[in-house]
Amino acid sequence: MKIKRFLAVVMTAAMAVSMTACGAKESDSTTKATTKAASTDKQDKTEATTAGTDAGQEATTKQASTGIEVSEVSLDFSDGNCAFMAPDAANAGADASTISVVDYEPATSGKAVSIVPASGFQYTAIDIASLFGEDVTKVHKISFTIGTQSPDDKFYATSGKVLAYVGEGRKETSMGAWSVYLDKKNPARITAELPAGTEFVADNFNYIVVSTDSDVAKTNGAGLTSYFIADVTFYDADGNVMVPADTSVAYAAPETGDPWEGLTYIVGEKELDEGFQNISGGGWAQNGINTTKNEDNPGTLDLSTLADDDIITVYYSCPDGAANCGSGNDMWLVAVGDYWVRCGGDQTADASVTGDYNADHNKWQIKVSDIQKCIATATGTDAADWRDTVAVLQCEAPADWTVQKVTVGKEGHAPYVVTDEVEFEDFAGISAGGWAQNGVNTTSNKDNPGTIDLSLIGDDDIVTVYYSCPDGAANCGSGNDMWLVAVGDYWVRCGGDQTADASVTGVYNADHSTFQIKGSEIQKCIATATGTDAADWRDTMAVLQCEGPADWTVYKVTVGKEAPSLYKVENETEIEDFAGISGSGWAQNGINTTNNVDNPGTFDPHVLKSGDVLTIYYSCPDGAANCGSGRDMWFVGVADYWIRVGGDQTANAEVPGIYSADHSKVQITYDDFVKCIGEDWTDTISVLQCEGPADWTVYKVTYGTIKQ
Amino acid sequence: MKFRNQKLWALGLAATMVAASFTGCGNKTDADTNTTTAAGSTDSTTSAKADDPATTPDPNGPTSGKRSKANVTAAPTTRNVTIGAWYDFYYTSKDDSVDDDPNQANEEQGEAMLQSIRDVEKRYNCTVEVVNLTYEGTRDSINTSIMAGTPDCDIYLLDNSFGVPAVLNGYAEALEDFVAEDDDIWGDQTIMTSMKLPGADKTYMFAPQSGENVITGLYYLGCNLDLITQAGLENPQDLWDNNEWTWDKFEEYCLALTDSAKGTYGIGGRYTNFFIQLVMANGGAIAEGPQQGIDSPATIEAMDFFSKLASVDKVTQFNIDDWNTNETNYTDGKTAFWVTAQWISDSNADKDLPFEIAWVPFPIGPSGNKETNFYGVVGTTFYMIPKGAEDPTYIYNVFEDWKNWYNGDTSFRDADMTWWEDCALTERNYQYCWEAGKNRNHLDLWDSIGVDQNYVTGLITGEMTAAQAAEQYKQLYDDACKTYFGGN
Repeated sequence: MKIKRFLAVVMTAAMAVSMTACGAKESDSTTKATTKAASTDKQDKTEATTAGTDAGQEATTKQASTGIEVSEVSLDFSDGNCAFMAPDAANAGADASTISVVDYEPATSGKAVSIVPASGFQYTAIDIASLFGEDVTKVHKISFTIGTQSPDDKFYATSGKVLAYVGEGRKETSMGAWSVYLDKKNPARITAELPAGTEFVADNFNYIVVSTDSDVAKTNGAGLTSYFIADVTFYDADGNVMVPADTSVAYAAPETGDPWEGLTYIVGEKELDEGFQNISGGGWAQNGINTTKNEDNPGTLDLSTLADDDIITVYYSCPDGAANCGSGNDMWLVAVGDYWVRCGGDQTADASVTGDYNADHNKWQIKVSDIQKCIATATGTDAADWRDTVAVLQCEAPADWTVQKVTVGKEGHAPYVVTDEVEFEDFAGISAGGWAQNGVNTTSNKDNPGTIDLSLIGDDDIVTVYYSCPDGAANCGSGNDMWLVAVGDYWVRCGGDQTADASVTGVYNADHSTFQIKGSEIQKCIATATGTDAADWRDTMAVLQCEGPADWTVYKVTVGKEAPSLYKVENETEIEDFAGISGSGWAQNGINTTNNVDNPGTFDPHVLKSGDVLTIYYSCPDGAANCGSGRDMWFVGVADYWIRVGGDQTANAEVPGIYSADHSKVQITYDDFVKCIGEDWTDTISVLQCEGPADWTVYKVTYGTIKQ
Repeated sequence: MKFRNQKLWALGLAATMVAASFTGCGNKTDADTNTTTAAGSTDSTTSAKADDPATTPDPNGPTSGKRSKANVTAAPTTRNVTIGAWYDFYYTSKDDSVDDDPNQANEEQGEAMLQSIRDVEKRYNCTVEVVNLTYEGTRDSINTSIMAGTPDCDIYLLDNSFGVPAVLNGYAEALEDFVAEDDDIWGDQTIMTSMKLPGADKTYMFAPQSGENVITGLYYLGCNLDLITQAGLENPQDLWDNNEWTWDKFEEYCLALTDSAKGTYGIGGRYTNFFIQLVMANGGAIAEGPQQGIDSPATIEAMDFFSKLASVDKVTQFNIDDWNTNETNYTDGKTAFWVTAQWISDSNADKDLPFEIAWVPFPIGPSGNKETNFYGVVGTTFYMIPKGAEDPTYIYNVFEDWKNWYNGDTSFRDADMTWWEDCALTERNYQYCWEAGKNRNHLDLWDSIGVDQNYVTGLITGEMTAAQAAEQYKQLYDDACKTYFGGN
């Protein structure tokens, strides 16, 4: 809705903007943007040709109509391409801004990328990995022109950061900052560069982000500022301009692990209060917002809406390399009333409450009931009225910190990781309108037997519906937007908002492309609806249908076994020399151990003990057979034996390995090795290898203790 | 003092900041919340407007450049005086109602502030505008527009991180060059205070005064007078008044009041604050300018004393494993001295503790001087007038008059100090807050300049001597100070 309102304002204002979706040709009916940003010191455009760049393409020196002198542009957007720019998918707090190429008079080419925020501060990634490929390692500095456009006719200052996500782990590294702080200096020319000794790494989804962290328009209640980025120039460390060979590339989101790893999976997540967006503080400094119970300066935060079983999630970041950042307890809440209480972290008021941190240390969670616990411990009361006595709720961390947002939700179930999936025929491609049903007859259908054999669905098995609905449609993409309908001499919704059994809503993945439900839950819904135990549901269901509240299409429906979840690991330690090793499909590669008599390695397997788990971080090429599903990575132990530990060809069927949902990690325990090799495996193993059924690359192998 | 309305009074940075933002200081933790529950209501006295402070212009006096206030007259055409900052202030020329400031808790003061801007507009034929540049924008504006000779704003609000380097790099006009000799800032500093940076030849930074600004951010020594009296010892406040509150006396007290078998100790509390207070009490500093001071004789002497108390005399109750306990351990009544401040008193509800509490400044070290020692690390935000600004004298006088909305009546300005008084517990304690506040504009970035402070715990355990700490950290501080302060 906010986007629609903004567009209405733009259209009624004197400014008309021609927007071109990234990669498409500009239409003929364009009108030039009449931005107010142009300097009064207009100068005639001049063109000069300078020496070519390392890409062999001409670079030009032009003078923009703003008076900003721009020498040698890598990207002038005259080709209409900007698909390599997108909201940073790896940042949970990134705003879903609309990005497109538009006319922009101050730019040398008259074109710029427009970034229109949806509801928060923009956080736009420039996919230099896709633009430059292997040459991304040479990218050292970026210059660009940035202009702003306020929601009304006034000028408001804005500022933000230029960040690099660098290296194999895509560590956030500051390249610099930007600001457009005066009307007469709008747009501004910004230059930012990597710190000395830092380089981007190829094949690791390294990228640059231009983010906003201060918008006076938003502070003043005028709405969100939009941005234009023009005349982008990339330089190598020697100052040579780098021009990408192909600007038609599309943004490739970094592969990320389970964002909820180490945390409680949340459903029904919503922001606790917009006032937390992009707040920040120095190390050991607090910042937050007032509650509605603040007698003297009431704020907007209404704690009465929080239930004891709610879970608060803080999305945060701190500067790479800063002490106390990225590990340990590097974020918590502070509750202020006629008390001052830390809830979580090392200095929590209640030692049993530290909260939970994800592996990337960009999310931290605390149960609402634990806030009360901390206040109670600190005040020596039961703090039952804490919702009325907290006047300010703050965040704090031991290093400079920024919080992108704070949310609240209920504990839910993460999407099941399913193995041994079997597809039900005839569901592929079925569709219907909103609130309409469509499906397939079962083999139990007496009048018209179909192909769905419900006996394949065990009580603990997982039925997965792969679906989609139109972008922007109401009830699509969030909430409960798909479920099953069981039809016999009953008609029963299983899952969704109108589920027959309130305890069964089903499980949706983050991008709402899968809906999952257990066999036992289908039975439960039918049982509740019919008032029976429905133990014979597999024999009574005549039709299995899908339904959703918006127009929907189903691509497939499967049944499979639930795979176990990854272990939470403590004291994770990397084993040297595994980083970057690779092999082709069914080839092995690895390291020697200290047991290796002929060529001792550095890894001593005796550091491992029962209760430990080894984790392989890996990837294989998208689209390759045997890649991205099933068992696509495992260990091989070599001595006077050669034994696969994990995978389909594991030496012990009880040891398949545990795979992450995105197949970027597999875990195999010390005891799994015992099962496959023997009790004395740490005494004998002389080579520890990785192997997979498709070409593979391993980023690291770690070991640690399984967290109880 | 009594006040009409119980209000929460937002401290320090004002205005449109909805979030309660607090800056911690010191190592480890800092709960320097400064949440002020200003209480009570003002007694009515709308303070009568003071007579217009402007005296008759000197007909032979200068009409431009540095000149007395009387000779700062209205601009020939309306001039817009701009203040570059990263948040909004009240009340400026765009405001015409007390309610325009959503945080204004005292209507009488609000009316006075609103009247002040109207008076300034009339007297100087100007308008006053605060330009919100954002924090990064303020930094960029200072670093680019001043160097180009055309500063974007007439005055800039400063943050230490970029303000101090800007001043040291010559981006500011010196107060000595444009503020008249008879101005308040060179005298009582009732209206404006200033800070002269170490190593700077002149004074460049100034800030409006307020009662809160004088006493905020300071620390004192809390004393359990019951323990002290029971031991037959004099009240340390009397010793302070008689210039007898020295390190030797303090050590003597701590030894007399420590009995580890009974679990009583001489000194406890926030040991990082105690550490730097000892350094200041001995006239020392660590990171106050381009030259580091950790290896100065005064600082080493202070570190020696700090370490001796902890590792030799063993009179300290500093918990280096659990910081939280340091903030509350005195409340059991078994610690004679602790580091205190208004917010500590408030958060621990000192008023309800079953023993008598006195506040006294930290004891003066052998190399210190009661009159010139600093008693706090600056928390005030300062301003500067940039090089190249047109008629700095005019700008300064507009700003000073605008901020002097109380017409010199500090009792009116500081009417809402009840919270501070209540936290101090007694009138005598409260007076020591003001005494310590006289020497507060001191910049020592020892714990915020990017150097770790692990040496402090090393001094406590005795694993590190003062000389070793100085040797190991002097280069780190030297590099950090030169990077930060640049300038010299």
